[in-house]
Amino acid sequence: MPFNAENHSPLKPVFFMILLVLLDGDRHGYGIVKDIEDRTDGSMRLEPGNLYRYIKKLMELEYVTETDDRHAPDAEDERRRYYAITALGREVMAREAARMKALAAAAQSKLRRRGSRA
Amino acid sequence: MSGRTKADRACDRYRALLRVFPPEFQHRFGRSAVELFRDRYREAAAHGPAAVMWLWGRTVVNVAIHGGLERTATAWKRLLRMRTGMWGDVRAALAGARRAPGFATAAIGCLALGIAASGAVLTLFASAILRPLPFPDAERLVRIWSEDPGRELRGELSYPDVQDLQQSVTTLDRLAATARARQYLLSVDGARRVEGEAVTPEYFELLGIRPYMGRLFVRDDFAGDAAATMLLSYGTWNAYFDADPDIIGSVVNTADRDYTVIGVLPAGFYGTIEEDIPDLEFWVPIAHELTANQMVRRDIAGIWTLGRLAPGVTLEQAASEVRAIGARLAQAFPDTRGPYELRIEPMGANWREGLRQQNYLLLIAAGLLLAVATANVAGLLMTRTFDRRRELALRAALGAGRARIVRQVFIETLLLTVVGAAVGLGLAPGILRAFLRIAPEEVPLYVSMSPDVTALLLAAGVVTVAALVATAAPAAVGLRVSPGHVLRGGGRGATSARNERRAGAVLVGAEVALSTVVIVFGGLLLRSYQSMTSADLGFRSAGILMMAIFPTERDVPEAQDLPAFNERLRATVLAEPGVEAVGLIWPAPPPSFGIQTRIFFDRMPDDVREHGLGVDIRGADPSFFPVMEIPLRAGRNIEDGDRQGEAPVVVVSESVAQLMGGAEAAVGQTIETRFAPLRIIGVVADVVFTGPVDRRPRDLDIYLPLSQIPERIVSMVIRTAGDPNRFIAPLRERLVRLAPNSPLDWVSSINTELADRLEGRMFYVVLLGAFAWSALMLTAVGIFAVLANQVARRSGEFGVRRALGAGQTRIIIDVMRRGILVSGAGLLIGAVGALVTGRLLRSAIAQIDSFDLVAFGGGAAVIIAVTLVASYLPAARAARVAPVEALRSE
Repeated sequence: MPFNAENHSPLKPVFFMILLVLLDGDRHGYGIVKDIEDRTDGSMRLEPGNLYRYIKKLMELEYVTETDDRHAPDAEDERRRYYAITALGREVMAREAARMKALAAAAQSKLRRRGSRA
Repeated sequence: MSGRTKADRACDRYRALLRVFPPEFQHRFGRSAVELFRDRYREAAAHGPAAVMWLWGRTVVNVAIHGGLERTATAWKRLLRMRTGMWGDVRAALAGARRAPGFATAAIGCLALGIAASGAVLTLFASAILRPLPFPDAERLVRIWSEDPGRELRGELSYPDVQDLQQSVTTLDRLAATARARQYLLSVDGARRVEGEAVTPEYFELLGIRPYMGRLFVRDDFAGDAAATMLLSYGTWNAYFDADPDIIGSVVNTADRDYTVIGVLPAGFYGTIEEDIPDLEFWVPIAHELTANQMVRRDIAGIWTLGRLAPGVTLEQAASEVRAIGARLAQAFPDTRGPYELRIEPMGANWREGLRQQNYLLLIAAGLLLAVATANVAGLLMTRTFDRRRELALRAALGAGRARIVRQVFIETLLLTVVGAAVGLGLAPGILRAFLRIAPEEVPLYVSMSPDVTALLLAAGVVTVAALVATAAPAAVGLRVSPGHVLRGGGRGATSARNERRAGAVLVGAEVALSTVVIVFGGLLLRSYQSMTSADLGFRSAGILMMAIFPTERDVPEAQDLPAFNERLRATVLAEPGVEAVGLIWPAPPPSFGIQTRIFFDRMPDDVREHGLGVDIRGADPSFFPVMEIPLRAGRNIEDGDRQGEAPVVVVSESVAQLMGGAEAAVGQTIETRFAPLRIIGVVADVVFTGPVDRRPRDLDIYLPLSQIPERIVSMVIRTAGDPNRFIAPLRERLVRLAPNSPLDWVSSINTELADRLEGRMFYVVLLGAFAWSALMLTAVGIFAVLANQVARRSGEFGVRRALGAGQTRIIIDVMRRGILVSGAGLLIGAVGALVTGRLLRSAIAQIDSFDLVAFGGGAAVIIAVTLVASYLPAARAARVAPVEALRSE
């Protein structure tokens, strides 16, 4: 099925956050959860149940894939699966970032104009 | 690390929780999720027990929500994916129906019958009660009635009342007055009675009616010196004037005057008379139809009103204005009429009210029939699904998913119901037409009836959903048992057999219960009908011919000559050989209403002291009571000496005399009427003059000597030797010779007339009878199907028992016992249900005893008989199983 990135824009905030974390490098589930908590000061908290539903969805969309590389090998990590962002996922993120940047710019310019009038 | 840590145990619990998710999800993400939970748990444990509790709380909620969502999403996706194999399933279902044509026919038949019958009743209900009347903006049309304070009876208005209303009312855009008009059309074939409507100029504009040809009335047609004009109905123009295109301008002769036809009204316009629902043939300006008295007197009612609410005005606003005008009129003219109030209500409310109650009854019956049909189809389908458990289990073993198999069963059911619904929808118009042929007379002709698509679809939808549930549930449940188990047990496992029997018993029991209610309803209606036909009316009706003559001024120019004419009339009729006696009565012979009036006397009962006692007035000659065999209770009969010029006297019925201290005490007392004081000379027994259908709570009648009230209507009751109908032709001949220009009417034997009146009631009896019959047949099929199925399943067992020496009778009894037990339980439940709902009948139909032993006993007997027959047939089959045959199949 030919993919059209426009169909998936705007991304759900939680998808955006997961992809954002994965742009830093491959993560296992707990890593994703922790990084998101850090970035949002704990306001976005994922539990295993919903995290893996989102990951499943992102994998169906082919934005995310499982990876076999072990980046920080230790005993416990052997049982963990790692997730990586795909090329398609990067493209979607690029478009999303551009869209958000344009929106942010528009908002800022309006806010500035109003500020100068005041 | 020795042994399992707390964290390990927590993870075990979490793993168990994850079962909420679909298996694929567990398989794919389960381990990762557990590891993530382990990290969370460690984190929480470090913060103390409260944090651990908090973690568990969050986790449980999270798993429940997301597990549920994931399951839903998975199921939906699977369904969408399955769309591909759908055609194969449809083809398989069609092949299945070909393999089991009996089953398919029975299921489709049940569905079609249930849908058609309930759809037709719903249509009747919808068109007569729910849909707006067939006029533009019909919901703004209103009628105004006069009402006695404290009595909930609608009365008509007097012509001066309507004129006052027309002048002062502001909340109505237009207000038209209408009255019944009766004419005798003269032609070479003799006089033909025609019914019409006399209307005011606003009438047609108010209703939004345009002429089919010619013109409508204009103001000039209503002027006192205007030529008499007439509009014809489309039907009459076709039937009696051969659809003559040059009809406009031609003259129609009636017994009273000659009318010029000015137009023809469109097809489908039937006027607005809602009383007795006559087939209206003509419309005339009201001004020429009313008598001089009717034009000016406020105590003569008989005018119907028709109004249209002014734009923006609510019914409540109009009601309060009309009430105020009524109060003003009542105050301004206190003497001419008993106190009354004016009430406004939407057009149609008067007849819809009565119809609604009876239709609720029909709706209940139709609902019950639909339920019986549904239970039946469900039973058939469920049995079949159980039958097919082997096949389904095999398919499951071969790798077909449960969803896939349920879908297969689903499609089969859907196909059956779609075909059944289609057949039902096809039958519905026919059934509706049959209904309408015997339809209740309460529905005015202006209400058009056509099958209601919504109603039919509703009925079809109910059956379809029920059928789908009935099949999908056993299919799904059946497959819970492991395929291997079912296959090994040949689908005859003890548990599944018990489940199936139980399901079958519940369905059949429910069917019997529902049918019992319908049958008892039918029985109760039949009993009420019976009680009306056999009611003692207090007068002789056998062998009595009735006839009315309307002496015109061409035959009897002066009113004072009417008594002499009556004498000639009597003599003419008596001259016919075979006529034994003749009595005269004004205005009409029974069954009929008299002229209503109010009387006053000394020591009036409290409840009627203020407004007077409402009674029916009639005029009788000395022979009337003897011919009708109405016994005299006290005093004397009307005699030849009670003629005009003598003191006005009256004979009262026993019920009236009761209120005056008894029959003996009443004689000699004087009653006051609005026209003269009348001295009571005699008391006669009560009679149900109105006939059983319109029977009133009390028979309050008074009879004046006919000679003292000369009227241009006189009716005869003629006692004949033998069949009264044989005398119609010769008497007509004699009367035409006596008064060639005076129309005859109401010619019939009294018994025929009474039977005609009962026909309207028959509608409900016939309809409920048909429902009861259908329900009974469906139930019989249901009992038979379930037992036959069980017998087929247990043929091995019967064979063994036969081989071991069990007699045929033993086996027959064993099989029948099951059917009888289930049916008996259903019968009991149904009887209780009928008792409870029977109260509804009592409010809808007069003269009904909601606990009628004959109706209940008869209903029970019919159910028992059907049960015996329906269960004997499969039992006999079981007994015929040859021992060897059955053993071989094992």
